[in-house]
Amino acid sequence: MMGRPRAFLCARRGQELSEQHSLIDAQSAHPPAAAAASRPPLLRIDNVRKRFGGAAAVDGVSLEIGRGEFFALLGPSGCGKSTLLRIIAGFEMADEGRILLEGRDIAGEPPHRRPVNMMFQSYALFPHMTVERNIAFGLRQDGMRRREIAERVAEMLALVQLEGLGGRRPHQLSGGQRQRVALARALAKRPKLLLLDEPLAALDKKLRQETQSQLVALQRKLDATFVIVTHDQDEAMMLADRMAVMRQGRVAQLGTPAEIYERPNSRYVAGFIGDVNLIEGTLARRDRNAAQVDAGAAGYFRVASAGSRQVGERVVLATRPEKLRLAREAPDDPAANVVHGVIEEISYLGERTVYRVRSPEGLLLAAAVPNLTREGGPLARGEKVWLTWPAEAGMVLDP
Amino acid sequence: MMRRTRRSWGARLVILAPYLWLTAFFLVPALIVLKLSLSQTVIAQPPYLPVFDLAAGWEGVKAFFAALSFENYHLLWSDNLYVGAYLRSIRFAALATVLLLAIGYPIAYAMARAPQRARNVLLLLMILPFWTAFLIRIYAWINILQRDGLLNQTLMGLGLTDAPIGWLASDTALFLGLVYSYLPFMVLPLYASLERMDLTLHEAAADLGCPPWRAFWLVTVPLSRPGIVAGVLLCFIPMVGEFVIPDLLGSSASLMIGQTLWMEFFANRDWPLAAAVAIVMLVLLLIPIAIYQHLQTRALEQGR
Repeated sequence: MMGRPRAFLCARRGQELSEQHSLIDAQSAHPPAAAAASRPPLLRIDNVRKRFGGAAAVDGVSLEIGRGEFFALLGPSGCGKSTLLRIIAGFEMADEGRILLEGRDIAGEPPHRRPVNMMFQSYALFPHMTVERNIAFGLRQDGMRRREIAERVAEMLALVQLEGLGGRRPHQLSGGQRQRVALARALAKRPKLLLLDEPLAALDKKLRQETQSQLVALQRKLDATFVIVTHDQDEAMMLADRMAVMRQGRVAQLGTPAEIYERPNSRYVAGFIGDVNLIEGTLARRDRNAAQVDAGAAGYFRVASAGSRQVGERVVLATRPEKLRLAREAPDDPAANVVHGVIEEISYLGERTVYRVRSPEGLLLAAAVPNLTREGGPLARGEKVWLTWPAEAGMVLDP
Repeated sequence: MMRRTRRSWGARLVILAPYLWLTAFFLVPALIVLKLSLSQTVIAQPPYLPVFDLAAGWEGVKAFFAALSFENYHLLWSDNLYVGAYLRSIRFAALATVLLLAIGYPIAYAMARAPQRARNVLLLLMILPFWTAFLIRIYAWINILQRDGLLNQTLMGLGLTDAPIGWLASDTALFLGLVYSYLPFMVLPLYASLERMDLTLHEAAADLGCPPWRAFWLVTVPLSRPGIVAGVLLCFIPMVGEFVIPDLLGSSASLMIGQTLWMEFFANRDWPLAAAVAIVMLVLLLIPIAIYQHLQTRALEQGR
């Protein structure tokens, strides 16, 4: 019977990003996804399992990643996303399952024979080599000619905007520069698949956001396939065409950022991506295009769809804070869901303000209101307000 | 103001202490040895001339300095015995250092890659021999290597040889003794540099298409260079002047410089010549240390 607002900051941003993404989705993300269905995918992970001791780190994951796609593996630490990436790179061997790169099973191959490159979280730059030598390392292993190597290194330095720093050693560079050297080194061999293990985790927030846009631009420019591992939902949404939210070694949900934000398939995914209000109850009624959730003392709430759930099942009604409308007066729309309550907490976050409203029945719901003018919200703590949301804003999830 | 002065006096005292120590126990003895090396041997008490005579005043000081000469150094240079012993010592020490590196590196590598819990045990095992006196361990080797010793008994028991082999008093025994005694001094610095190496660097090398053996040469070895240099110097320098091991295990036909020095000092009672032998050895050993210092400074300058 409790709303569960958490990570306020993320809620609004999540929405903005998802809107941004739905634009991008319409233009560019869907074609590769659609193409992946018709063409054989670049990478197919087929029922991969990996155990460490007794615990399963990766527990039967199957995924398909299309050519030219920017794919994110998202989840909290310990969910198996890094292990899965290391299995693709070859640093861990899967106990079971196949990894098909362009149709060829590479699961048994050692890392140095896989046409896949990885950018490490710690960057793993060779401290005894100059930037140029670091970038040239993989090319030298392939026995490329000296002149070609020099050309490729210059090209890579230009790509990551580090011209003139080729003679430096890694410790003479800033964190952001090192990050770019690591990226240039991983891209130098023009891998079919680039793996990125929390590549931006060591950067401060401002630099991270800049680098995210650069990374997206770079991936489009190279038309390369990127798989990124991250625990940061904003980062995954910002970067990825599609993503897999992982939990305890399994894929909890697979889809575009917008799909996952607007149509999470579980309470876990809804809570992990963005902020969410949860109201527990039972499914009271359902017909073709509407359903009702009985939340006990708090009353009945309308939702557009309850999926395949049966009347009487225990469910959770989830709403995103930015989809709740906050007003002093009682709403006149009879079709809307309504909660009457008192403002218990106000969090001013710059571009929006989050109000936490407590109803007499004990519901605690967060509503995010964009700050469209420079005068802050006229509402004060302790004020009586009405929260409303349309039936389409509610999502029915398993408890 | 008062407090600052007082504190700076304290700081000066702290800085002064090691200098005083080095002056009293290193510089002064070194100067005494240097003076001895410029003296002449006599059958007297003490067995050298000149002796500094305070009673003679200024004239005594002048006579003292006039009596000093480089004759001993000239003798060292002109006699094959000494030049040969120096060259042999350096050759033996260099060869033993190469052997130590070849044996010590794999050991240190295995220790550094062992599971965390096993590492401390392995480290302890490496240091364990130090709990027994050095001399006793060398005598134990004599026992093992002698004609009816453990090694010959084992070899004959296995039928690998019919008659006992004369292991002792040979270069083989000498190298065995050197490698055995100095192994921890090679392994420990190597272990220290290998243990803190970032293993993701090897993954990065593999990821970029580098097979493991080549990654060893391109990544592991260059990054363990400080350990290699430290181990080599820690072993090479004392081995050049080693006395006990060549004296107890080595052949009397191939004397090392430490033995020559001992003979001049105790058998011939030629203190001045022994002092000259010691000074030359000191200078010879200063060369590799100076090179090492130079390399390190350069590496530091490159680093900043």
